[in-house]
Amino acid sequence: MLKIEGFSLSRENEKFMLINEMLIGSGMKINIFGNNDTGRSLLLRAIHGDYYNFGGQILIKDKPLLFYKKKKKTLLLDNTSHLLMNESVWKNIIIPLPKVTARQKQKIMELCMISQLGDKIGTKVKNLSSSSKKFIELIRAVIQLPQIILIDDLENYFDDKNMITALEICNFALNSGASLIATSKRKLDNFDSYYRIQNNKVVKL
Amino acid sequence: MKKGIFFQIIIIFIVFLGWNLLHLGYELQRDVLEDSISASPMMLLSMHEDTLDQLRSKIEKDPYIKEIAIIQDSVIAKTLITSYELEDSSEILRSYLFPTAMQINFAGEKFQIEQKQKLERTLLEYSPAVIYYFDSAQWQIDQNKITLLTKGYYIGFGLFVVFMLFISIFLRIHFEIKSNIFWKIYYSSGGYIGKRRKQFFINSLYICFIPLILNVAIYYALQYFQLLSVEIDYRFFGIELLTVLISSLFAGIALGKNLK
Repeated sequence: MLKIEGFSLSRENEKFMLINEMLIGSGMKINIFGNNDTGRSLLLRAIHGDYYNFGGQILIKDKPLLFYKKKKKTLLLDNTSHLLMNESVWKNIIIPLPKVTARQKQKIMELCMISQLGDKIGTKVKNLSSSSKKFIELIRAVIQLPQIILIDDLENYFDDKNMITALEICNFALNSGASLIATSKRKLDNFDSYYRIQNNKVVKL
Repeated sequence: MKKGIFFQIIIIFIVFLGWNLLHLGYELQRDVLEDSISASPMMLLSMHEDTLDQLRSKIEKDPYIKEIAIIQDSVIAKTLITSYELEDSSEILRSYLFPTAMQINFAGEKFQIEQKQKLERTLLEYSPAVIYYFDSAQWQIDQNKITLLTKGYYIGFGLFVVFMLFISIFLRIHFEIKSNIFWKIYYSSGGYIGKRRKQFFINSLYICFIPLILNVAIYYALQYFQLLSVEIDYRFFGIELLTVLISSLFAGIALGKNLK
């Protein structure tokens, strides 16, 4: 699914976030953890195709990122909120969907129930908590079944209980062959594979 | 976003309506003035009926001539006797030799300065055998009014073009910029890349065609129910369509990268 080779980021002639090779298969949950300023967010943005100033190559299904420029197959959930605050939960979830099928509608309701949003489907987003807002973004991402879901600083939004719920929501896309790459400052539970950033290198545990 | 498009359609519809009313008002007023010219005939008198016949055959094919009628001298004498109750002196009147008259009615919309000068040159060739009477002062007043009306119409037309371009470009850019946040969220949430450009194109079609179709429908409905005495040249609707199409094009260029 995802292949990263000879990847590096540069800052004032100093290379960091060095990855010799990273292979991520379909349906896998990957946690990349490390301290601040180690380049976690830039790595996700590079995979997403929003950041180009890096060395090495990133291939998704053996094709370079340029191939996906017009049809993105990744979804990035970062620290900024990507929600219409004066619109309902439902409206925010269906924003990118060209047409809501009966199956999607049923699945959205199901995922909303899991994340305690079932009875708030018509509520305006501005009245919800931060974790609920992130749940909306997460549901919106998984319902589209992308190839890779990228989540930056996952532990910032959810406590331990909600983290389990969030991963449960992600399972819907993972079961359909998507992969999940989440970054964090500390090692998170319930992931299939872990990478630690130490001494500017990404090491598989 | 849909509210914005609806609002723009309403505004453009109202501007089109005003523009059409200006055009209809101009056509109606012009018709009144041209009818006034048509209603004022030229009378020609000659003692020789043949001369008038010659003159008639020379000018009757000209497009500014609506109608020519020759009134013979005997008819004139009869008319005078009847009109002025001169039965007692009818014998005296019959002893007089009356001229033959020719009445020319003009097609008001075509009888302008060039045509009048041309006719006067022709009449000069027949002078003094033919003398004519025409209310040139009234004709000049009507012509001046037509000129003034036409100038006013063109100024109004130009202002409508400018106003339409200004208002439609301004509204389009305003509502598109207002929807920037939506599109940013749409793309970041995984929406189809290029959707905004496609939506802009579809909205342009709505904005250009719906108000125009409504106006054309109103016009033809008025025509059908015979509530409108003047006709609008279909090219006029073409100019209206062209104006909103140009405004959409300019708005698209001005928005540039926003539409990506």
